[in-house]
Amino acid sequence: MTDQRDHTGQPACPSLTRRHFLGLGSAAVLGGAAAVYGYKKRRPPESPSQTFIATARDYGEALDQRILDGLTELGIDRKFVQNKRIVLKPNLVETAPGQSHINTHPAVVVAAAEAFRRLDAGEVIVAEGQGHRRDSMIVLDESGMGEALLEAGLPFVDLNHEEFDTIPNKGRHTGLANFHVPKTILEADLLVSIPKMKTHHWVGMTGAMKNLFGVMPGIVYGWPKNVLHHQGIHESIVDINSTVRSAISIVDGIVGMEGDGPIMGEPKNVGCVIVGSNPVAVDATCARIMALEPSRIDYLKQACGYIGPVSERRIAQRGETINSVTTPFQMLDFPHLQSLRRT
Amino acid sequence: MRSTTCRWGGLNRTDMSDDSVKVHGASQDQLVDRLLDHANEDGGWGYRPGTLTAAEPTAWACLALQLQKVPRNTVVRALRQLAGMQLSSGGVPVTRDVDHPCWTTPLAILAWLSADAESSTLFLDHVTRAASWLNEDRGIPVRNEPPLLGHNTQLIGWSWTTETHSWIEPTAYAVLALKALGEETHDRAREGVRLLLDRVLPEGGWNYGNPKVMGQTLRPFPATTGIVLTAIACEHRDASIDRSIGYLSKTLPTLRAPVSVAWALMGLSAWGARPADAAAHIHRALDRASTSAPNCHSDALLLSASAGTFPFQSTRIARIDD
Repeated sequence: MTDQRDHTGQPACPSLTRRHFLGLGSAAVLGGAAAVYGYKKRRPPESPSQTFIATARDYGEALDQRILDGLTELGIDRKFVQNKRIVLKPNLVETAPGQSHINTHPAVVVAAAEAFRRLDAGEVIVAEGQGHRRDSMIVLDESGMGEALLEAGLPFVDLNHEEFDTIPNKGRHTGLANFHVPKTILEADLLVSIPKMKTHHWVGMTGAMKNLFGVMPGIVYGWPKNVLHHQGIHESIVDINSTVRSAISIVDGIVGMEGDGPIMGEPKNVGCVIVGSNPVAVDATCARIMALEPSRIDYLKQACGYIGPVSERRIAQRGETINSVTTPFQMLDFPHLQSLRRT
Repeated sequence: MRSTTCRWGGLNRTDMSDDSVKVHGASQDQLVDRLLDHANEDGGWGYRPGTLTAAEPTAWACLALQLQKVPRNTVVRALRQLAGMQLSSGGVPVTRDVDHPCWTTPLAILAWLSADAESSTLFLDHVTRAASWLNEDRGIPVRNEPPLLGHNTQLIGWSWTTETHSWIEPTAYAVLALKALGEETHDRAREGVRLLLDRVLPEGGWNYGNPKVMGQTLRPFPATTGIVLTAIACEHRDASIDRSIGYLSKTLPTLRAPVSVAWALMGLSAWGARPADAAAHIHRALDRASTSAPNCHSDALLLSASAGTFPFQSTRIARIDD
């Protein structure tokens, strides 16, 4: 790869010289062994990406205002949003009693919808194609999302069973020539990724970029989106984000998940919401908050410069500082995960 | 070729109270009306009304409506739609517009086999070609070194799509289709059953496919548990199956989502454990469905579950070499 350096002399993008998944064998195919890298020439963005951090100690706070503050900082105003069709994509996976930290909290989704409505959005829709449970209605019922959406007058679209169109894969880090993308996503004026801040036992962390696995219809990709796992989770993340661009990311970092994420881990109080317009920059910021080194996370390495920046110096931080909210996340005791921790 | 001796547990209407029969009948009428109203002009069904005809909701609508008093032509048109979707390989893809994946093929087999005696000969060739596809299709085994996964990754079942590992739901559908074909002792059917039993969770039930990842035991889901219990009906009943039936019986009263309620009832019925208040569960699921956009797939499943018997049980089991 090209060794690009920023103005401090630091590499703008980390070097891709070895595979972090070496040694896992083909068992990782089920959850994310990477394929051979198809790395591309890239240029860093012309201007720094902006990421906004707001503190929010619990879900009862005025989250819509926090999110609106973030959008304003990013320059996303009424003129930009007015009359647009906004699709909010939360992270719903599965449910279990007392395990509300698996999924994006309904309060964050409703608050995001309210923020866009205050900016005169034409239509706000919530859409998800959850990766584990096929029955979206049970996930909506048990997560509390269904009731919250009903109260807020927000329609829900089940992307797993939606009509889709076939479009070229613009990333080609995987061997997939095309993606089958639901029409709801293709017809959106603004796609907003609303993930939960969580560890991920195959790729290290899951945030704004990995969340877009959920736009791929299960009837084509299976549950848990097996095709993407077989093609390499890291590579699939980059390809999907190259092809289906989320304009805005809003991360539920109020209560995250540490340990055996993305479903079996423990709740982690962080107390913040992150808003950004570039998903690579947002995930790099989330990694730093979790005390992970983003330059060691393969999908961020592959996306760096090509989709967005990873280097802290190329991300304009607004709102709270990263240091003020940094909360180290426990990682499972496997070499490919422990190696991601900041030392 | 063997004829199957396997039969699913049925619903005995004489065991139901008058009120239950009334509720049951009203629910069924509502579901039949909705399905008929929501059929596409081509005779098939999309997942949602007005969307492209898809194999899964069309197959389930056929299975469910075969047991109801609906014009024969309604079902035959839909079965013809499925036949029209079939590829030269014998596979039936998920929608008319794509040529893969074809995990829906066993559902098409079940639908064609459910046709009445008069219609069944129309689809015999389609069944034969689909059965051939089913025999050829296989999930890929993967290594599990070091053991990060809690299942036997070498068992060959069926996958959602080609060149991927086998998973619970497509394998269960394939086993159901092979049993309906009278091939319950076929090597692939037996391995499919072994795969399903290998992946049961320690406390009972099944999730989407893994009992464990990274040493951590995963959680059961009602729908997949119901699907597997339906597929392995008539197999040797052991403690793991008892635990799975127990899990589903305990979970059912908490459910309102139609797909989960439907599969929970079908799974329990398959083992003679259908609850006496099944009609109330279906009624509650219908109430829940009324709060969201209409869904042909869940309506068809709920109608199938309301019948209390697996749909093709009431028809002759076709033999592909007849």
